Amino acid sequence: MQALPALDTVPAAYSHELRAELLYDLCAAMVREGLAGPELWQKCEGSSVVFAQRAIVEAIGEKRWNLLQRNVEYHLSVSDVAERDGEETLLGRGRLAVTIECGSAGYLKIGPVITALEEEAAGLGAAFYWTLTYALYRVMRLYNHDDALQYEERMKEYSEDDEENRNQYEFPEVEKALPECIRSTLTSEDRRAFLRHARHLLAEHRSRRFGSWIERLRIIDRLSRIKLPVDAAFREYGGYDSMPLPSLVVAFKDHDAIVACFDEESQYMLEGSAEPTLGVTFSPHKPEEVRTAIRMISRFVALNVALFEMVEEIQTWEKRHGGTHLDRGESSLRAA
Amino acid sequence: MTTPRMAVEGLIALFDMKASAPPPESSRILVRHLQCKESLAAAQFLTEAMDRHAGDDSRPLAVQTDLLPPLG
Repeated sequence: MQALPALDTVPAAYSHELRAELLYDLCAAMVREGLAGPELWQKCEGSSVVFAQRAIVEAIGEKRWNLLQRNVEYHLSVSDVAERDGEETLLGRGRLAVTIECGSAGYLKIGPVITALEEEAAGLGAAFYWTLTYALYRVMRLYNHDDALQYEERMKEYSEDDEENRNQYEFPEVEKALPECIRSTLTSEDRRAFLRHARHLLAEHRSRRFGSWIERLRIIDRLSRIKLPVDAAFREYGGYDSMPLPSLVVAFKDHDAIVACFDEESQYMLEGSAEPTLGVTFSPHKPEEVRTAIRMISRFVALNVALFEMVEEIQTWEKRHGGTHLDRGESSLRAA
Repeated sequence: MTTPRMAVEGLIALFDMKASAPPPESSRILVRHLQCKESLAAAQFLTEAMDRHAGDDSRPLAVQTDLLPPLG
């Protein structure tokens, strides 16, 4: 019987760092930009990976990190590969890619807010809704009335092509689920004039009863208008099957037609590859590119923080008011 | 509290040094192994032999030691 050779002198495990220099370049870039320093390095026991991760987390801040974790599921990664034509491809030339992908969308029930604002002043609810919608469109993918209307339209087209089973189709009737002030403003001849009027109306009410919401909306709108270079490479060359997954579902009521449409559509959203919510490539050796990447991520985080602070404020307000009916006798609202 | 500038510069220099340092010996061994067809084939034979040995019959291996060169 022949024994196996002794293995005790043979290394049993290897760890291999491929292109590890990029991690050190990233760490150096973050120190140069003031995102992390020697104090943090001392806490990381010599691990550059831990240093990079903690630098990013600390730059976001614990309170803001927890707020986002409560409301939405984002995944931030820094990598030397990116999707190109549907395949993970090495970026090369010492470049890194930061991506933020959404794994699970946040939820905003905006119906009670619109009702309350419309009761405050005619047109104020619609002004709030459309201003928020256009602001968010600039920076993230939403699932809202528009997606639901498109889904309903597709369902109707399918049913027309399916003579045998036409009667078995159920339509969500999205338009009926919209508040009147939104339905009546779905289309307007002069959208710019409508939005200008909306801005004036919101400004008028900034220091009134619902000023807190309007102030939060103003912050979201301002952040969304910050001009930043767009890294089109992700969209143009990524070969993704679909646009980014929604970061926020905006419904008017719980279980309304928009939520029903989202529930249907979301079953298929994870089947293909989706473009990241945010993607930017940079070279850690080029300070200007590093700063641009930091600005893009900072804006994204700040806007999401403002958004979900507003969402939580609305949730708290709604709990106090027990549903969609606004109690005008509530003293705390009068004081607001 | 502000961090002393030298400490920051020192940390940047540390990362720069790490970035330009050659990969550790363990990484180089692994790269040599992954680039060597014979080494990969030997690893595959070893894995298959271990699978057979772990099978029902627990047959002793008939593999010569010189086919199992240490990676180091």
